[in-house]
Amino acid sequence: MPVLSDDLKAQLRERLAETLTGAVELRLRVRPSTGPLIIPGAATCETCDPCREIAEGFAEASDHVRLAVTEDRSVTAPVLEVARPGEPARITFEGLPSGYEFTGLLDAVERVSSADAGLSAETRTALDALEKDVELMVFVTPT
Amino acid sequence: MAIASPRVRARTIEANEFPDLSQRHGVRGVPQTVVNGTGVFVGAMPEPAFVERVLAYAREEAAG
Repeated sequence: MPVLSDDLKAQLRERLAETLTGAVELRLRVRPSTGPLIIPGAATCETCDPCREIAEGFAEASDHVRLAVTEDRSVTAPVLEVARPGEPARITFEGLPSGYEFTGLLDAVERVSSADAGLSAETRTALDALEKDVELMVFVTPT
Repeated sequence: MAIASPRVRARTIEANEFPDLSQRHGVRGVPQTVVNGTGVFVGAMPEPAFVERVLAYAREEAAG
């Protein structure tokens, strides 16, 4: 069963046509798909194929979105980076961005595209004053 | 914050798919935010409160 319904794909195309202005690169690292083949005892990545489908859905929905996929046999959960082309990624989704996190992914794509973080002036000033790097890990679940 | 600052990296981690990482950081409820591997707070909150917590942990770590 597809992760993205035809209706959702159509909504995504319509939404991204309105909101995307600049190029966005999705960089996805997944385990190579084995399709319906199940290899007993082999490590798996159950969410890699669905994540690839979501990423492909974004790339198909807009010419502003480019998808680069790296297949890695050591992957047990997908990692999806959202970045401007040629720039290091500072936003990653680790695991399947489903449920509420699909909305988070959409928001990230739109904000990277527009380079608009949507933050207050006070926050931007505080961030400009950072002297060291900050890594935020936000643990979530789909619902 | 990661869009606004090249010093910030934001990782959204699906807790069930990364059980070891989740356990290492004592994840019991979500959303749980971990700042530079040590500062922890749980729950969604408005931007000013979230930013204040992040920067407080970042300053605390910088102070050693």
